[in-house]
Amino acid sequence: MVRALKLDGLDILIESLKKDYLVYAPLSRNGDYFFSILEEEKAYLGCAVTIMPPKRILQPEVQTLFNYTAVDGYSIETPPLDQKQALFGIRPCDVHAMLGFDRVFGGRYEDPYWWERRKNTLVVAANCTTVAEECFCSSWGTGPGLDANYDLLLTDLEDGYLLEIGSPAGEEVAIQLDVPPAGEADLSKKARLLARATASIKKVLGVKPTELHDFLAERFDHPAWQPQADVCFSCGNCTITCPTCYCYNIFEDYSPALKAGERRSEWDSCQLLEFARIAHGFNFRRTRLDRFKHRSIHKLSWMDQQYQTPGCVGCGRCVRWCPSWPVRRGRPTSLADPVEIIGDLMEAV
Amino acid sequence: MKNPYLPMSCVIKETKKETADIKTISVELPDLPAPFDYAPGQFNQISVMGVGEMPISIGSRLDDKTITHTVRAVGEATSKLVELDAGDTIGLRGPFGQGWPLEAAAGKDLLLATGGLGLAPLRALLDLIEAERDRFGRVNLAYGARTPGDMIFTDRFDRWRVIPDFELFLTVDHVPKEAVWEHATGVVTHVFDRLTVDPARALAFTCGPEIMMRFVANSLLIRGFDQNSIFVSMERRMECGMGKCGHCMIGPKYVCIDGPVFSYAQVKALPHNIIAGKGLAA
Amino acid sequence: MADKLKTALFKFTCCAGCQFQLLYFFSPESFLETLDLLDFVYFRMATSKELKEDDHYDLAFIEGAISTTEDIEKVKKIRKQSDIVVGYGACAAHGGVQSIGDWTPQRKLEETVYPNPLQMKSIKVHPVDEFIRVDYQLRGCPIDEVEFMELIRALAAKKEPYLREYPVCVECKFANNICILLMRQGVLESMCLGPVTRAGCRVACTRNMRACFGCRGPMTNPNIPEMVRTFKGKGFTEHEIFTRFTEYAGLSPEFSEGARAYYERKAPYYERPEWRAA
Repeated sequence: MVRALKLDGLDILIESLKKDYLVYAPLSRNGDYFFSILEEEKAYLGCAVTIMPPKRILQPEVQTLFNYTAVDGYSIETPPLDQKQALFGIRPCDVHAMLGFDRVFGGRYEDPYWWERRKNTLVVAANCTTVAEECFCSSWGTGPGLDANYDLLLTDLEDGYLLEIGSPAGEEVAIQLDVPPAGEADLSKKARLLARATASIKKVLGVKPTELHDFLAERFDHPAWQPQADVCFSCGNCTITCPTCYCYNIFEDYSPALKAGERRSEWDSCQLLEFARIAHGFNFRRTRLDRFKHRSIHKLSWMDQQYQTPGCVGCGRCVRWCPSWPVRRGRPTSLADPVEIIGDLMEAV
Repeated sequence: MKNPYLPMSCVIKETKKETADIKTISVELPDLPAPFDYAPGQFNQISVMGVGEMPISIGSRLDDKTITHTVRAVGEATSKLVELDAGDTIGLRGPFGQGWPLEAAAGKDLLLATGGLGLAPLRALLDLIEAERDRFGRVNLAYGARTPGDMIFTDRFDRWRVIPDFELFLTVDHVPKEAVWEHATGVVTHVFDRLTVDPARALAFTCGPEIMMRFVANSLLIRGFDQNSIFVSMERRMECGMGKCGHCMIGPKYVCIDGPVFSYAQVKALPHNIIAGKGLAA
Repeated sequence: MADKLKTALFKFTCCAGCQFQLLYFFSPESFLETLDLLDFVYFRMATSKELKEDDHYDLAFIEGAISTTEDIEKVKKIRKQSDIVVGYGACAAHGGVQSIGDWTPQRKLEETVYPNPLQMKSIKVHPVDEFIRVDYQLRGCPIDEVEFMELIRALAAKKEPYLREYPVCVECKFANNICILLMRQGVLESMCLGPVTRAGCRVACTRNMRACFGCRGPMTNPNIPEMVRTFKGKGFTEHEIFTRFTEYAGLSPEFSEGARAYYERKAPYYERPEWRAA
């Protein structure tokens, strides 16, 4: 079996994917980068990460859990989720985030909405040969290269693309391409490019991931939390754009005219005041401080305790999209930046 | 794949008004491949179609197909639920969560300290004590409410009183002028001086408002109960019941799958709660 | 099916754009279906039905702000006549555009416009819930059709509507928008109130690369001091910051705090936090 091919361009691969799959790819429009259904436009692999993570394709921001009609009791209908789709150009950090979702939506109660979509999704990942200044995936071991958990894996070799095959489903696509296998030189070039990309990542977590549980548990009452929380907007940008944030709200849309309704899930964010409010009106995380701490520690430690998967993959989206930029250690930094949060906590009391 | 989000369609068999705003609803389950099995202290997600879903602790099992839920009209969905009557259809998913630690309780004395509607999550356990009396040692039930009229399951009190080695202590915060009340007044910890369980070999199960559980736990710790022998049933916003939606998270724990019953020692390690008082910023 | 809600729509000080919006929404069938749940007995722009004295309404929409003493009596009467009162649009919710005038002494305003100010009877502009209890508030300039549908369907089904309380940022990210506040510099159009403004508008402005000007008023628990600092950091003047905060919802306690932060004059409602509507 051929493990890797060399492509001159991406068109041949995309055309082949389109035959069997609904292809989602990063597009660039008005300076936005986002995953969308690929139609006429060209897939854009120029940006490190899209504004929104590709989680929205597998777990849409608003999704229908079921429809019901309330006549003589009620009857329930679930939406079909059998669309075969390909996630083209998904970055290694986002693939790792997807594996995290696999754990969240797996376990004792499997979430059928996630898994139906997940099983029908072909992962065509793309290694990062260039990185953005917000990236810190190397601290987590989630990039810039991907070792496993892909169907197909692209690497931009500058004079073409290396296409590696990671699964039978990927192979089925690759076989149809009719291009020569990649040579030893291509593979060593890939290794060289990835090493260069890793070396170019400037952001590093100050604490090793394995030591974060203890580090944060010891600093739960550290005085550095409060000044950070004071400048937090509680706007939810960091969580909405986070590829590993999975929280959602369940609500109902009911039409009295039709006596029918729909139960839906909608992404929620722990940064919003309403998140931990219960029916009496009592709120267990009423203060900005409590919410800011909850998000930071959940990302860096608690999610790993719950699901044995890191809650941060170093994609840098929260760094980029947090609207609050306080000055820390003499330079403006993004408030939500995990590297800077840890940096603050490392300062002695 | 079984879809855990889909509620079973259930018909309300009968309803019983407990207090002005609390109602016990008997629900007839549909035909299931296996009997609906639950542990005392677990909860179900009850749907009122068109309004929403709410977590409610499971009460008694009346027969193979009928279980009860006791609900107070607090929020929107619960208010709609208590308005429903026999013959109405509701949705039900469950059971979810970890119930009271029955294995640890085997052969031990039990103190059940509850307030108001907090007696409801203990109802299934009280049924079990009645049915299998030999499983536990001496049992004390300390039950407090705001007024005598706010007490639930009052029709059961006499039955519980005749259980061997079972003591029932009742107390209310205040007695309205016209009411007759021959029991204690004051918060539930006031009756703790009269307890007949041995703190060294007893487990305490408590359920009620979080501030009440705080005082109960403190009072029991002073009386020599161990941190690992006090169990609390916590309440948070639970939407999925399956440890996914994130709302009921307290630190790294999910109330819906790791709880709702936690030991005091566990709660002490958690932030953002009133019971052990750590990390709930003012 | 349930009986239709007997509905009246009253207009006070505003541009009437929100009621026009009801006629203008060209929406899927679900919108007409929703309108069908209402029986309008008074809706000046759409029907010729006259107002009946001492009528009773299941539902009353109040559009516009209160700016004369007669208006106060009128809204109080409407409150008595109605089961549910809905504040309709930004003017009813927070005073709207005309509330900019509240930051200037009334006399000066009148002198600027009218030759003989002593004949004028107008008072400062107030949101409707300054005088009467408002059960629900449809915010925005103009109101949003999806939110309108949600409210009406919920009221017809006798349940609580699911009106979003989160900030515009959340919806903006749902819509894949680039962040105007972070990415655009040097133009007033980068002065985006998104992080402190309540969502529900389906990002009508930011989708078109225009800054959010806060027409829907504050979200729950907005961080106004940080918003002011952010604008300051982007190089905006005190007057520009003041203008942005007071443009549509300056009478809300939160936004008036932002306006006051760099402005001498005290915000009219700032001292009264109990006014804060849920």
